Amino acid sequence: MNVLAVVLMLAPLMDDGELSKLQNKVAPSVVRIAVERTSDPAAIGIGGGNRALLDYYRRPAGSVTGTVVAADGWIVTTLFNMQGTLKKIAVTTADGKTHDGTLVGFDRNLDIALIKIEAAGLAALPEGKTTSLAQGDFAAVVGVSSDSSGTTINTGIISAVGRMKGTAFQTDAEMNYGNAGGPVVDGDGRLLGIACHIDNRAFWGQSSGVGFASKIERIDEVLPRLKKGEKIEKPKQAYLGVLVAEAPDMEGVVLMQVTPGSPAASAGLQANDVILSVDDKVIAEEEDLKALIGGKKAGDEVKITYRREKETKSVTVKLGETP
Amino acid sequence: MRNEERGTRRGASCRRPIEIVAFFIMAASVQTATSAQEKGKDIHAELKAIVAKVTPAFVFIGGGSGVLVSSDGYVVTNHHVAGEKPTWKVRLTGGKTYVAETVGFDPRGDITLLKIKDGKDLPFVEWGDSDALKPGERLFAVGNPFLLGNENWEPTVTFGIVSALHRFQEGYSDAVQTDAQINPGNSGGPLFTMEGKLIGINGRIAVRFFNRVNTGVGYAIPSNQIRRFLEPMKKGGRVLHGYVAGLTIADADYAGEHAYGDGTLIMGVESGSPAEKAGFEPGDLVKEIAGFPIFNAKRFHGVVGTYPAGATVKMKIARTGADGTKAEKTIDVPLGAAKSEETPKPEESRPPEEE
Repeated sequence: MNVLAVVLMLAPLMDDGELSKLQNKVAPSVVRIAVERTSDPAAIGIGGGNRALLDYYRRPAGSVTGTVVAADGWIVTTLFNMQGTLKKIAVTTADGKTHDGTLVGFDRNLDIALIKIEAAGLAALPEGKTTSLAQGDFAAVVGVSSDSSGTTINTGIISAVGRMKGTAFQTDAEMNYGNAGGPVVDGDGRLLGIACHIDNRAFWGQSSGVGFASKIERIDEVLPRLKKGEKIEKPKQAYLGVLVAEAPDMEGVVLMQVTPGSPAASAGLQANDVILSVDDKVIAEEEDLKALIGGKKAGDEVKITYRREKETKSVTVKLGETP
Repeated sequence: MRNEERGTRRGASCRRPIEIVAFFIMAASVQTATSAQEKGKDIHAELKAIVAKVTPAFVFIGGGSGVLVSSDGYVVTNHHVAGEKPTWKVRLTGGKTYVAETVGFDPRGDITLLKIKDGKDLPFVEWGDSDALKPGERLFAVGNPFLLGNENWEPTVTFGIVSALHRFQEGYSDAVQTDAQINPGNSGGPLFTMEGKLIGINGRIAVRFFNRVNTGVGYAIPSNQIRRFLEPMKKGGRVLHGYVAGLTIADADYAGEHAYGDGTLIMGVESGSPAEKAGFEPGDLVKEIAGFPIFNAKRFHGVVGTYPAGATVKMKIARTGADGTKAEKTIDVPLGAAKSEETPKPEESRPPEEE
């Protein structure tokens, strides 16, 4: 095994020179987006009185990232960057020129938004194939930094090839509110996807090592519709706002996490509560809860009976809409 | 596609790491005039191959993860994932379900051992040597952060290094620290070397202000510790941790007679206690336990904490005689049962200064 150790030392992940080359290859296709808003649902951090959560789950000031997908001025970014009531979208391309951007369409399922700018001859990246990806493959996300005119690069691996109903892959290349919307590329600089699903309502927050990219093939499929101005919404589903798992006790499902601000949180449910029944129907496992809530509509009220410490309690929860 | 159904795989295919590794050594050495980028790709080719070999042995259990360690179905996970519930419905990568029965528990060490009912020819992973790890060595974790894998029963793989060894953090006596990202849902899951050997079970992360996401500091229970508890756990029930009753210890520089790092000072030995019977005397300096240098009291607890009650460990002590001569001797110390069996809190360790 000593030989293996030596081989590993000679085979760096990708040495400094190569990473630099990769970053320079991708940079021309990365744009800086500055958004002016009159209202922003993500401006107030969530988390109640917990100051640290407020910072972590709040959209910071500063530029965000977009990716050139066509030479004649089409830019894709994450829908999170386009949230709120927008006043102005200023897109600065790699050549330093700033253009007015128009939000043309979006797909909430892929969590992407399409912006048009008046420009020609922009650099779009060659595309890769996400069907050839495997866990362990190299991946990098390139973004813009707020305080310099350069790009940032974060590297990692492909953590999973099928996520978000197969529309995305997962990577541990760190993503945050600054580089979401940027290109996720392979070692040769080919576009595999756009960094997405990093927003202030996700359990994984930012920079946790859990990041996603909507697959380029899925994006290409919807691009013609988005270019025509289509705004593709998610099918509306009843939403509770909890992450559940089989309880280590005999019955029920335990709440692993409760999304701050969710219907569950508003009803007073907390992490470690064990849901025993919904509308007096016994919940034995996760699938039971999914089925029960799945059969409801947004706005429906359900009675949730749960155990906290040694007490059994009930509460009425008004279901919301999947965000 | 990695998320295809794999069904059962013979244990033998997981037990041929040497052939796979030899292939890559040959392949890598043949590429003499290769660019740095080519070399960079080798590590990912290696990683992909090893990941594909070990992920069939991954176990989805409750709100966390586990791993198969034998072809007849022994599963290791955290105690804070499986608790002591008699049976669990578990799934392997790809989604095939099994019933697993809990066999034995180590609450203080945060390990639960289960066995898949009527398990036969199941994929499993090989144990590695957690004490042979070096800081900087590459590791990868397989887990189910935020239960993202429940969609298609494809676990999450994260890649990093050994950040530090022998960490003593909130109940974990001798943890492997890694920057391979560990999040809620990774608990109970395996931490591997690049050879696909199991060197730890992930279970704790340092978090900031109770915000339960990874911050680059993950802790795994070392495989060598778990292995010492396996046979006692297989016998069933709770296994207690080892403890030397009758000793009062302190850092060597406590009394100002020694420099910090010299060892652990025996401040007092209770008369009639197991410590006295083992041969300790007040003033002894414990220099080594089981071959590990014991530079402070925490490390003393750290090493002893990796042994079950009933084990015997060798301790090297330095003793200054009445005439001032220094002598070193090694004593065999039988470990009794530790009184406190507090179950460690899941996945949260905060720096001691914070509340």
